[in-house]
Amino acid sequence: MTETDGGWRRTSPVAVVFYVFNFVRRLLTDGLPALAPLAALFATSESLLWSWFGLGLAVLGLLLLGGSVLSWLRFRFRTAGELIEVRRGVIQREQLSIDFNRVQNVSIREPFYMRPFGLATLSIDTAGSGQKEVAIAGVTKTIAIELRQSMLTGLKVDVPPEDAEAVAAPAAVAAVDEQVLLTRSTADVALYGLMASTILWIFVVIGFLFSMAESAVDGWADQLQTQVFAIVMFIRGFGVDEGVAIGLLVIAVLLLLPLLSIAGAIFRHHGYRLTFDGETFRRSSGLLNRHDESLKRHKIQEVIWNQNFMARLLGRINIKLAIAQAGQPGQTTDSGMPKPASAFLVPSLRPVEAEELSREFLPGIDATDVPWSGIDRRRYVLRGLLFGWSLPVVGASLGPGVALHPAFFLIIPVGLTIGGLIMIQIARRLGYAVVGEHAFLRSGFIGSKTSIFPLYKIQRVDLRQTPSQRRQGLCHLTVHLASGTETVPYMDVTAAEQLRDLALYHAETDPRPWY
Amino acid sequence: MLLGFARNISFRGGFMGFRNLQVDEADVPRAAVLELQPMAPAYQKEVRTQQFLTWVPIVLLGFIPSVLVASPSTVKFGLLAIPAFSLLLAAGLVPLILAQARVKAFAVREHDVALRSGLYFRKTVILPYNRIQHAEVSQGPLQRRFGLASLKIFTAGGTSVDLRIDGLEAQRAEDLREYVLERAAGRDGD
Repeated sequence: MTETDGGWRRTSPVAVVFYVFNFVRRLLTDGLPALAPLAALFATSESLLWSWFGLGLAVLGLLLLGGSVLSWLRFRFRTAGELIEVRRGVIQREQLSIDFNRVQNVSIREPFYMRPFGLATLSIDTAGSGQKEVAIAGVTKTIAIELRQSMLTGLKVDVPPEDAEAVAAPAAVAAVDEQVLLTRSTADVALYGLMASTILWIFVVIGFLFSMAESAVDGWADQLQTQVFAIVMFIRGFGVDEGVAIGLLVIAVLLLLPLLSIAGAIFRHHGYRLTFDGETFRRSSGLLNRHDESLKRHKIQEVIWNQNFMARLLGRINIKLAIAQAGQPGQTTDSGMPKPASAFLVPSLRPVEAEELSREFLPGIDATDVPWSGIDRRRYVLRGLLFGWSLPVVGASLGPGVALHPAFFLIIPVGLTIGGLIMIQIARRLGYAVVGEHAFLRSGFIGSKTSIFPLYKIQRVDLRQTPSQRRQGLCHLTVHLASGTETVPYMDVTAAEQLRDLALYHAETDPRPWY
Repeated sequence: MLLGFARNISFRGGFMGFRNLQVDEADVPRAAVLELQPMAPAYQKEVRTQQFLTWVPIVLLGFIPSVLVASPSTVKFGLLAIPAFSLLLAAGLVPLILAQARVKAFAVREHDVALRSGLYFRKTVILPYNRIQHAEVSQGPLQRRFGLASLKIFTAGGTSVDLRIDGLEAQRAEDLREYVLERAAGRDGD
């Protein structure tokens, strides 16, 4: 494992498994649209082609393995001063140098196939540039921890030779004085899974309502009905009444989705632990694949409190620590994960815990009695109805209203009433506040999302006005942070200008770097 | 990008001592009283030329279907609706685009740069110098004819240009880029 030519080091052969998984994942995410027609071709063709299919699969498998082995063979890394350098690439070779100062986020993953060997994968997130995330797969856990430590402290550290590791590493780990901020029990994590499934719940409920509405309107979506009917008939085959059959079907789906979500949450967040050493937050969690992630306090751009419908019911809050985004949003990275998913998550918090932890994340904030100001709700709702709702609602009623029955024109008042209620609810959630050096922006519909950020972290501020807003003294305020943008619509223009000028003032006079 | 970062890092050391917490409301400078300056006069000409070069070919191409119909008939006459419609569209859009170019104005301040634009949606963007990642000057063929250039400013987090000032005189754009990057790097002792 230690082939040192100019300090360049190779990783463990177990990394080959990492590359195989990586290739498969990339093939599935990026290559699926291309593969789908091919698969369809094989599925519909004669049995003769199946042997070709098998052959193709075997060739693909061999290519994959070969590519992975080559990836491992080509991969080298070394540390030099405050730089970590990586050489990689099978077809296109590249050499990357990452300055410790530019590192946003370091995480250590211990996938199940590495754990028996005491190995880990170190993922390094850089900011600002279009450079991708770098993963060093298959290093011993001690080296991974040491590299992370040196990156986070920005100290010059040379990776020690193989035999010295066992002695040097534990000392380095023990030297860090960490304080445990939070642990999550399996029950907490299961609750998080339940909350995360809200979208699925809403989907199920909407689907159910739609099928109800469809059965009320003759001739609509016949196909879907026959499908549901077929399933119901199938269940009835066991001697169950029709109504009971539909009920069972709905319950089965309703139970299955949250269970899957809970299982997923436990898989990822089991044994959640959040620690802080005075500068760096570290979270570790995972049932089979352990994931250990670090984040320096000053890298936090925004603290986002998320509370969806289910979380409100359960009285929990999920916090996301947003950091500067590298490259395009949604871009897949080296480890195959989309960027936003790698956000630092603190799940399933009680309100008191959320407040206390937020004080650690953003020193000096006071999230207890936030003096919220609202937007111009009446005009916001009216505008939403006029531009967002009226056209589709009128459009939906016009066709059937003229062609089938005038009763369809009832869609207009009903649709606009529902739209109005929804808009009123959204308008009531929208709010902003400034407490000391921090801004609070809130939005949401049934749930809510609150973004808290230090004013000096802003990148740019936009103020937008339509002619009517100019007359009414209103505007849209958009704050651009390195982690994303937040908009407050229909805000009082004087308040918006004040918030903007205060934010600019902080950004321009505060000597602390934003990154 | 790299350059911008290096610049940002460089001021990190020099200013660590400075810190001020309490801000009196009255002390915060007001951006609402911006003194904006319009774009270079050549910019209006450039936009006019650009519009001319866009719409004249469209209208002319619109005549082709009518010309292709050999005999004079109602069809031949009817096809003239295509160029007529394009002409109408141009008559509606061009004044708006020209007005939009006239509305555009910017301000270079001590600590930030501001741009106001938009005819219907009046938008004011303000961007502090010390958030600039990098800045570039670009010049299209038409801009070159009129001696104009665009200044594009990028910050972190954004995926595209954060602030784009079209219609600056070429030398002015270059100077402004220099100035802006200097301010981004220096944050001189004021």
